[in-house]
Amino acid sequence: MHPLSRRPFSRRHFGLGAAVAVAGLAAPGILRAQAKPRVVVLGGGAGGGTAARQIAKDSAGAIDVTLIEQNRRYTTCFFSNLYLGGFRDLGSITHGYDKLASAYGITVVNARAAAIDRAARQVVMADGAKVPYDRLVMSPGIDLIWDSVPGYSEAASEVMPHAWKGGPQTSLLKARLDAVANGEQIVMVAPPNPYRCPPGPYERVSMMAHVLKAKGFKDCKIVVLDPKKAFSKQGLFAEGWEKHYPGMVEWYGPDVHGGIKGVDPAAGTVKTDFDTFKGALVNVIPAQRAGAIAVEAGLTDASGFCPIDPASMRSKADEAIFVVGDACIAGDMPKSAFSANSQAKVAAMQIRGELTGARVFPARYSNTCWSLIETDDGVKVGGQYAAADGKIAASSTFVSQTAEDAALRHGNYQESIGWYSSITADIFG
Amino acid sequence: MGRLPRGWASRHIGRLALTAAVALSAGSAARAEGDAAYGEYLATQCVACHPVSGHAQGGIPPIDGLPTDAFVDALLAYKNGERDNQVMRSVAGALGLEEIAALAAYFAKLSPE
Repeated sequence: MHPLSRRPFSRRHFGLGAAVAVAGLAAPGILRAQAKPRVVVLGGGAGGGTAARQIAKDSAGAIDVTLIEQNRRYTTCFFSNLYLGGFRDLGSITHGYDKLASAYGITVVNARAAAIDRAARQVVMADGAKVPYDRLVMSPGIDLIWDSVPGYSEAASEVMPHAWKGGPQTSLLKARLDAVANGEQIVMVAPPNPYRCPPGPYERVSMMAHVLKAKGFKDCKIVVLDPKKAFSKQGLFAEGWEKHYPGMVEWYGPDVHGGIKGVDPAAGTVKTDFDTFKGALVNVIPAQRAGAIAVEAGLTDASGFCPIDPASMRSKADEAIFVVGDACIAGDMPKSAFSANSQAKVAAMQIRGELTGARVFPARYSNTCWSLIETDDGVKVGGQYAAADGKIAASSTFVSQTAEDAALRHGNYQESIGWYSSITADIFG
Repeated sequence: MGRLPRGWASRHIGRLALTAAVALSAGSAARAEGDAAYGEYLATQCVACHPVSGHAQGGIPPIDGLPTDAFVDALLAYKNGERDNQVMRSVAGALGLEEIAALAAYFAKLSPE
């Protein structure tokens, strides 16, 4: 007998309506009739890659795992700032899925998924093919809300790159940064909360400044127009900018600029209540929400992100779906690759428990975000998390302190290099 | 840790002895044979940073194959503040002795490549 038939879903645990409970009771019959339970993972980034690999590895062939990812190669958004700064090449932050297929027996489908048919429990591909699942892990990442910055659009991003998704945009921003001449100005429009990688925009500013400084450009400015009054690791970045790039970086919060009114891609300008800023390079990072497929599947709430059960990563809208990574509402956890990887492991354990009867332990989550301010000057923020008070809540947190010695900062950077190597092996095999 | 004595007086009298017992048992509880299956789950969080031996890059050491005592000593040292890496203090601070024992049991079973 399949474990699911011994442990039918219970409304006591999931609090879902009667219709869903009936669907849940029907599931064991379906599962008994097939050779193996099927897990489909949608999205091959930090959350999806981890979930697929973890489920396939730990179930040792007992679960049929399919990973759907439209791109054959994945350029990580994490560490892309180090590429901008010239510390990494693009190849070193680009990964394939061959090992997930060859070493773990995962069926990798490099094609675009169009929709989720929740009633039929299947993913509908863009070409019309149907991929049925017993459990679905959604890790679609973010979509950019283009019109959150008036005048901005997908077309405008070819002129004013966002580079907030790894890939061609990353290369475009690098090319544009490398073309900035001495005396020219860079303008960044920073995103409102919540967004992918909270310290990311400010590490990016640091890496841009590093490139300009390394060329001996003393007359460049980087202006950051921020809709937020404060940002992640603010004291650390402010100290680092003053120390390494004195006079180069100007950060303006809403109290100063009065509101970001819009961009003019043709003119290369950003208009605020305070002034209009012109940039030889304008980097616009718009507001974000969960990937469109999650929105269209009805898995998001008014925030644009997906509510989940903090003890399991299960969608609050559908008991057969787990949402991990940037697309979910993860309480105190920031949107980061580390968080996505951590959440995917909780989902993987839960799914194995339901489909094969594997042991299930209380969910634990971790995150650390390292940021590089200048060569060998790395800082970090992070914490440990668990389900509490109806959300993923921090049980302990830490952050680098200002005025730390050079050896500690160098050690932080070395840690980040080790982390990237380990986590990408954990995601992509 | 065992349940406290029921009566106030006996609790009071027993306090010194209890404190000593807790101090002694902290190490030994973490050194008891851990639940390696639990450790395998907990370890999924460790390997986000710690490499497999032979594949280390940068500044994070491999921990696979670490003998139980060395593993427990290291985590307790982070937990009680004797070692000062911020990430590891946070990690160890969130682990109970049962979790440390479980992790030690799991990692000790792994042979470095």
